[in-house]
Amino acid sequence: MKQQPSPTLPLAARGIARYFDKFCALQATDLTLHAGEVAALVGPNGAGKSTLLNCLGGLLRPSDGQVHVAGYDLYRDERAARRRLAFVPDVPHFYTELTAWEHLRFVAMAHDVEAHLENTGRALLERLGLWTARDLFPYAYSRGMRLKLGLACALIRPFDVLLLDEPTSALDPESVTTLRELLSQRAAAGAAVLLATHDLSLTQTLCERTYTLRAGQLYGPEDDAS
Amino acid sequence: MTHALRTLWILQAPQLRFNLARIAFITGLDVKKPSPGELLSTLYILLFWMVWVLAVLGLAAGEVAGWLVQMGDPATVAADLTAIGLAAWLLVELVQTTRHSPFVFSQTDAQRLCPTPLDRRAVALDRLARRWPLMGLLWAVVATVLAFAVSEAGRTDDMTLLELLPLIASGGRAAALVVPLQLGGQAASWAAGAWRLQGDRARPRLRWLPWILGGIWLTWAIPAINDDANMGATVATLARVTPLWPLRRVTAAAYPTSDGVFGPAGLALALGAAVAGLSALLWASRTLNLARAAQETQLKSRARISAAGGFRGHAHELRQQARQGASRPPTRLPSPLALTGSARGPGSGALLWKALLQALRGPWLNAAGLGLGVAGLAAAWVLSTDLGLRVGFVLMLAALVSQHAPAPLMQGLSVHWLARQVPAPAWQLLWAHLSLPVAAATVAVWLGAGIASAGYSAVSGTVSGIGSGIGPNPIMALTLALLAPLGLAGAGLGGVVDMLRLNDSGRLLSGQLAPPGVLGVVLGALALGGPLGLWVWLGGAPGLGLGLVAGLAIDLALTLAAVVLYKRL
Repeated sequence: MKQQPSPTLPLAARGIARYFDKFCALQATDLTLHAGEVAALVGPNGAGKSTLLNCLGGLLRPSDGQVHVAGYDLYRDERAARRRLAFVPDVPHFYTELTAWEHLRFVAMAHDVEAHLENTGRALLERLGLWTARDLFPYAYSRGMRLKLGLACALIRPFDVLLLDEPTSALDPESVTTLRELLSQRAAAGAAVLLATHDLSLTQTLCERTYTLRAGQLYGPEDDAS
Repeated sequence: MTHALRTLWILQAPQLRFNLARIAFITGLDVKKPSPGELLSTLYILLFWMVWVLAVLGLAAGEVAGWLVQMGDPATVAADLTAIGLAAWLLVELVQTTRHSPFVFSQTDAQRLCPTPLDRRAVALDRLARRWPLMGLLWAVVATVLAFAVSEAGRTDDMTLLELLPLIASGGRAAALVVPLQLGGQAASWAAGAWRLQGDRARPRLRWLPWILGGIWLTWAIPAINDDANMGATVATLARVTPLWPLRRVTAAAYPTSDGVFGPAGLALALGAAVAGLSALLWASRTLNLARAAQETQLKSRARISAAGGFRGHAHELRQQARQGASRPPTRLPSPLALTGSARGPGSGALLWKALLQALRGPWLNAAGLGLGVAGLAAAWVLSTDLGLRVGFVLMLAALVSQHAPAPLMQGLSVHWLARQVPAPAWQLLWAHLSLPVAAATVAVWLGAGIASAGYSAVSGTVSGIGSGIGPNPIMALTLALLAPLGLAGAGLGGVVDMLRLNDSGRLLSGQLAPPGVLGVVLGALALGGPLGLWVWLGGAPGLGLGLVAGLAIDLALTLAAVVLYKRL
């Protein structure tokens, strides 16, 4: 039976855990995000940040637990959940045969917002500094440009939840400022944002809550992670 | 240049030693501590292989001798064919070297070798020395087989052991003459490639050179070709009544014929051609721009290494990048929403649009080759009257489709983070990627079956002896055409099911998907052969109806299995 959507909780994860064979990469974890909230996920390398984000984004099936996006189960009501969930990995790969603009068009088409592509797509690419490089294939991009194209692919479409894995790792300072503004705007419009990062200045200036992951164990803002 | 060659040798020697040691290891020889027993066994293996190679070349020569005799005097025809083959190969080589750098550099070469001030002539020679042996060996084999065939054609009784040495000598003589000619041609063609890569000059007009040379050759030859002449006369005209005649005079010394130059003079001329080609290469590569050459070839080199390591997907991606360049104007392919005017199912429409765009920009030659293979197997199935052969053709068709039809889906899933965000049901995602290859395979089967059926009807009355072993069967062609869409879809789905079974989310995240395996072929054979088998067994309309129902049921079951496996990823 389909669960009723719950607009007050864009993302609710209950007891999600992930094992790789016998190795526990993520212990049973609960996490919720509220509408308009920007939260950060910090922790040392190998703590399980990407694993958690991949599980929340539906890219890696959790060994245990459930993920609900706006009340829809990510695996049982997959289509409804995916309409509301956007994800940008730390190193986005793209289709070899499609140019950057065609990637944007593909995403816009898939989410039924192609009618606005000419205006919003152009504005977004201009803001991210990719407009003049729109007809290049993404393999000709630098790592930072690929990351920005991944962001554009996420921001061109509507969503309730945005998950970002180390979004500033390859960005120049000017682009970090642009990213901060874009995320603030989407949060102000009611979207929930969770970003895994090592950039503490970003967490301090943008995020309302900070979660810490250590050896697969998630600690909330009120817990003592040390 | 000597210093540069010595430096390059220091770079190459360990690799060469490693390769030789590897070959020795295969023959059972440990080069570090060779024991007398190992040396003897290696010698035995080498002798065994030499005898085996000789036997295989002799066997091939027996076949070729028959063709040579049919075309005219064997030695003359062999000389003609060698000259034409060398010229045609040189033109193809020129087409490549005047477009892309023949000097291939890996990423390591690009970073370590190309920025050095080493003499460019030495680098050019070094690259040629790496690539030439394989092509030289190929031409040596061709020349030897032709020489053996000429000897074979002149023999009326069985060969004695005493005649073996002259036979080997004739092969060696032909190879000794043809290989330097080939080396000269390859070096000259590489010289054209080096000429294109001087400094920052592009020299785009150079790419017309092979077309101009080929045009001159054909313009000269075509008026001289007699419409009523046989194949031998046409070959003779192409080789002798054209600017090719000096080359033909030299190749005639390889077999030898009365209208060629004297043997030692021919060898001297062939060696002269090699020296001339190498000199041209040395001259043209004095100011060779290694950075440009490396830029043009790095992707190819990486693709070759990936393919050798078994990373087919990565190799395909790199080849595609090399083919496409860096940019492209936006596609004019209309959005599926613009066509339907409806917002229903935007996710699957976008997937179909993407799959079509990827197919249109994909490697056309590979697709055409696969299409020809599918059409050929369908034609063979229609024409064959033997049940065992028909089963074999169906198995081959199932293997071909089940191994290649999942490729677009694999491409789609390899960008996992983007594919997963498309709000389309799993079955639509699968079918959006599978429908194009299945449709293409169906059209190929229809064409193959149709052409075989119509072609047979057209020639069966005029060509004698065609009825033995093959038969006309319009009903067979029609049945295959009707059952093909469902059967081929099932074969493709069989491959998809196996591919999904072999992969997990970890592989999807890395973008390196495992291709379908044997289970895919088995499922494909079941999906394609099952309905056809039912028709063969029951016959007529009931067999066809049951075949269609079975095909549909198998397709639905396989789609369901694929959806379950996809959701478990």
